[in-house]
Amino acid sequence: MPWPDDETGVTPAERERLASVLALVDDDDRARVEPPAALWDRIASAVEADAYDQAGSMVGPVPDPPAPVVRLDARRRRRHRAVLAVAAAVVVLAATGVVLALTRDADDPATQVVAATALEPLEPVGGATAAARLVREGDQLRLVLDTEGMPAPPAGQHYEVWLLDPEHAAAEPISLGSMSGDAEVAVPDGVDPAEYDVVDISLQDEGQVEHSGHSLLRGALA
Amino acid sequence: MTDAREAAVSDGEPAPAALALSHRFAAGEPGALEAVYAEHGTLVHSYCRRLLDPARAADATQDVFLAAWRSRGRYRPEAGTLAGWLLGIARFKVVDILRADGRQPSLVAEPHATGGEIVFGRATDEGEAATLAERMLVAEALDGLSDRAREMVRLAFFEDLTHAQIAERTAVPLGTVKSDIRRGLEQMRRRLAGFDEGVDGALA
Repeated sequence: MPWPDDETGVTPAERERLASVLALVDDDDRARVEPPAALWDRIASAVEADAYDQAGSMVGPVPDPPAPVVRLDARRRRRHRAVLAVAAAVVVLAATGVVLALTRDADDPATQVVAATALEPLEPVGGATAAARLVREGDQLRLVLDTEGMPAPPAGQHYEVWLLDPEHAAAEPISLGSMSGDAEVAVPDGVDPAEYDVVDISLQDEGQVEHSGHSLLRGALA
Repeated sequence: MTDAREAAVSDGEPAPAALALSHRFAAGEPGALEAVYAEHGTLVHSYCRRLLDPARAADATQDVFLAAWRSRGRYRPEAGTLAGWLLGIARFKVVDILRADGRQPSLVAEPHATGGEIVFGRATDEGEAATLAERMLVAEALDGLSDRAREMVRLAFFEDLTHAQIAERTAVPLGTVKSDIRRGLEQMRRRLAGFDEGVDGALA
């Protein structure tokens, strides 16, 4: 393009991309098909029924009463590593610091503990401790976190659970989602727990997609 | 068609109303999702409908808005438009549905030629599902520009004219040419930036 950057505020790469997209735009791309009239009502019902959202796990304030562990349904298990949002189910116990025993493993003979670790604090987190178990149920791996004494995160921040691969510098952390206390989260399909064998809990700013670099607790699964 | 579009015609900057809605949405304000659906539901559905049959297009649209609401805390209004972000999510949903279906996406050919009846055409790949979203977003941005700004963008991109040459050819002051093009590019860029965020970011 024959214009200098300072006149448009758009980088050469962006311009090149725009040019290639612009060259393809045709009238079909302007065609609009109205959604069915009842669709908004369906969406509203789905949002209302969304236990995930009610648990307040992704965003917003931590609810006061302990919420039950909610399992991810199969549709939410996706393998894209950036799919941080497969945040999963959250149990909120922070207010009381009481540890709720997660007894599902014991109750369910099909569930098998693959590996476990006690997470060590990398910095004091109000005396909090945490342990993680990797469990297999059928072909699905889940990480079960038992925490004790996790304080509520500072306003505008949340805790996030990650799997790290310390052997490979280029391996990016895989988010298993936000958490605010005990949690049971699905390990995305395609993630090899032998490689990604370190469990990490970080403090994240809202909206922060990448690992903040601010790790609080960490442990190697064995 | 929308507040955003009307405002864009007048000054080319993101409409305050649209910005305010993005922030209300990101903050999880009650009612924000319905407003976002009213604003962008047709775009999202139209995109899904280009790649899916009617029933699954409706399902996918529902999934997009549900996922968007779950992930709203990850949406950054300053980084890109909601329309772009929603299509970033939609791209994943559509590709997922088609994968689950055991086939590749099919690109719909010429919806107009069949009297509005969408037909499935040639097979395409995931990259084309992304390209289609980018095309629809850029088309929307272009439609939101004034006729004059749209012509400036066309001359700059397709005739490879400099700003000065455009000013000369159109008899529009150079400063106006520059600001028209800058705003036009910004409209398109912010939509694509939102799309990238939706793709990379935050899907449940």
